[in-house]
Amino acid sequence: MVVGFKNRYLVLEVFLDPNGDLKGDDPIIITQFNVSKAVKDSILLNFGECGLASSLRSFQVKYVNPITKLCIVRASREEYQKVWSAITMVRSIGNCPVIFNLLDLSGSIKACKNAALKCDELKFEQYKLVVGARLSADITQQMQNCLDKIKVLEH
Amino acid sequence: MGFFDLNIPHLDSSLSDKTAFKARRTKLVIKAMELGYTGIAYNRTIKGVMSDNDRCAISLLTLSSLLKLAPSLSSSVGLHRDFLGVPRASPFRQYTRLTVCVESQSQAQALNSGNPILKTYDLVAVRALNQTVFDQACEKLEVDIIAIDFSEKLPFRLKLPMVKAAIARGVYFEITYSDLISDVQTRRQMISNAKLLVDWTQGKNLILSSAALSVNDIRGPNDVANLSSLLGLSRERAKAAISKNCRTLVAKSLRKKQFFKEAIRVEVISAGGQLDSTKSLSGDWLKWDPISSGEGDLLLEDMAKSFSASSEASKTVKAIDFTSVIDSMPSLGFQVKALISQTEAVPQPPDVGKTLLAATEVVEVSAAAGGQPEQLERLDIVLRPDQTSFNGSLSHQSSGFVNTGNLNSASDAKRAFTNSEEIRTPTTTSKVEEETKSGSDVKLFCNVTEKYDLELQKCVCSRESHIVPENEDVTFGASTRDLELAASCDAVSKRDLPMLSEDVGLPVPMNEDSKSTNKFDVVLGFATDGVSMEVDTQNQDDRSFAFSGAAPHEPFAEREQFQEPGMDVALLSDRLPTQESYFDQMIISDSSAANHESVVGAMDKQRHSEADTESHNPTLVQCISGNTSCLCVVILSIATIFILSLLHSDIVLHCCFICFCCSPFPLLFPLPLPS
Repeated sequence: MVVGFKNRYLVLEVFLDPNGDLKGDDPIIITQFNVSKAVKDSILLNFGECGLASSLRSFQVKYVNPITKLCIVRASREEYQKVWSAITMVRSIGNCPVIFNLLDLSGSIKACKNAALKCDELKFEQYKLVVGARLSADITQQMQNCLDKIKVLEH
Repeated sequence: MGFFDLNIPHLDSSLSDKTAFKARRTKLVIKAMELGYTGIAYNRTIKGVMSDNDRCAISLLTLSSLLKLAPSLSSSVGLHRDFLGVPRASPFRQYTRLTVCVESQSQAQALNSGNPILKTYDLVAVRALNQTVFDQACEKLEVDIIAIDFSEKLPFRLKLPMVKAAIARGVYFEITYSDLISDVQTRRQMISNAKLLVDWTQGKNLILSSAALSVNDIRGPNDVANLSSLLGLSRERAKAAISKNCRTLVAKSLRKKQFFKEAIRVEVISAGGQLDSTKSLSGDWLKWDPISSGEGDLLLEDMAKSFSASSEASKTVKAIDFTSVIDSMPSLGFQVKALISQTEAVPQPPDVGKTLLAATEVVEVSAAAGGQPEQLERLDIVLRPDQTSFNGSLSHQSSGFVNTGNLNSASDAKRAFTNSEEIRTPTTTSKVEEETKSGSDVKLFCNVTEKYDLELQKCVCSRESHIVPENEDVTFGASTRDLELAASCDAVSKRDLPMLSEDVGLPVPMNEDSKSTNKFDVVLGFATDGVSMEVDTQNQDDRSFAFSGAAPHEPFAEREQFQEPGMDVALLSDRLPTQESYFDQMIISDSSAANHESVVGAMDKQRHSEADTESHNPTLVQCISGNTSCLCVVILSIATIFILSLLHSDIVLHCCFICFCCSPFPLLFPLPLPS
């Protein structure tokens, strides 16, 4: 089966409140919804109505991991650079300043899944280092669920 | 290839908010490191006339200050570097930069290379505030970077001939991307202004930097490259603008700073250090890191171990210290310790094996770091005339060995060891020669050689042999030292090098079938080839020379002794499958290397103690002498020696050749079993 439309899958990580302006461990919980909203606002602001409209068709935030702050965004092959620039120019989600950083860019969902699994695992190791003793079984379970979610992602 | 952000604003702050300022800067630097940048430059902006107060007073951040704020920094940085494909071991550089806002011609006059204040900064940039200054900057001023503030309406017009003139001179244009991120209005202005520059330069001589006032404004290198596509820059040029262009810019400006007329390197020698005239200059070259920022270099491994990077080695410009890198390398290969304790033998080969493997890892890592072509060329030029072709090949290897820091650390270790053991070390190059012979492959890394040297010294100590230092050098391939060698040969009765052969001779072994005899013979042929002369070893006669029967002492009188067939057999037993390659190696590589290659190879596979040697030899003799095919083998070996001697036209070789001819004859006659 030949895929009619080509996509690009971006694996990004989010740095929440890099300056430490807000208090708290996790100033905001990122979800597919608020990430999607922030990016769409950025596209609208920078590329206007037509820009948003042409990228809207393939644009989707496929996966978000609130623990490791990893997300997977899909965009069409023609518009992905615009979408990527818009994502880079996102300054905040809600009232929390953020920085998006691209980790991997791939053309197929399969390659994306592999990269995302690797990134997620490595980032979780990093998270465990930072959190130290406060790691709870609940978080670990949540993490496992997220990893399973990656494995069943579809284009 | 590393990523650089050459504009991290360093604001002049009053004393009151110094801590806040420092905290902000530290956070920025941490974020830059985490995002994968390998070098940053602190940018100080001044306006008007320069005074003596404007000398560089920017303090470079140390590891401890960074770690205080982010203890898990090293793992995070390593993680991101892996994602980006940046080698973990490459140091994080900190440079200093000055941006001068110039309004008039007279102020512009101060911007020349003779200005002492400018010399205190690594990079110099000019920001023109009107048209005449801009034209002057493009055509005449000796600066590294032309910085233009695109966020407001430009006070001058960009003209194509000016831009072209600047590019021809090697001046870089800078575009700061934080304007794109911070504010919507500035975004508009900035894109319309900068697009013209991008169109005209096509990314050539263009660098992208952040000018980030707070940590919220900094972005990762790939993201920045993508942002610049909004300005019309193509993907490859964009990536180059944030990596390759920055690197050449930094290398160029550092070279201007450190070199006199771009050819002679000016270094600071500490008052206490003496110029070691015996030490060849090539050693210095190999330690040179063209874009080192001196104390600013931060190493990931050091962060991990949370101690600051020490660079006591070089008395000159502080280069990278890779001791920690080497230490942190997993020790692949075999356990040398047991071998050492049992045999008291030279541990070099196994150690070499270990360090060789470790070195390969380091090299692989460093090779990925992006070559330093200018360094390579210079290394070739410097080293070739100094040394023989063999060493030339070594220099090739070492020049290919990008992380010069390895040498540095190795030589540190060597120096330290030397001090403690009070052994006069031969010159660096000769050391290198020595090591190389032990390093099995053609691929020898100086790191390996240095370590070998360490071990060698140890053995020297333990054996208590009166080894005249210069003799050790001689051994391999140094044709000029033949005489010394001959002299020492007679004088010295015990050399530690022979220990090599002893150990090697070990394994002799287990082969007592006639079947294996054949192989032995063949191997013998190969082995004897490899035996090449060079080994400046006086073998403990019984063993090895048992074969040759003929007065081993006669050959001793000659320069070279060749390793015994005992060794060869050992080789054989373990290297049967690799005979051909071994043979090739011997022919191709210098004869000096060949012998030890075989030795190393054998060592690599054996763990036998030297005590067995004696008992093994008789059996070996029996095997060998029984077979007539050894004649063919002998002929083959003679041919090889002949070829090698032709290649080198060395007296050494010729003598070996003669010795060798003498020795095999006894093989033809069955020797009585000494049992």
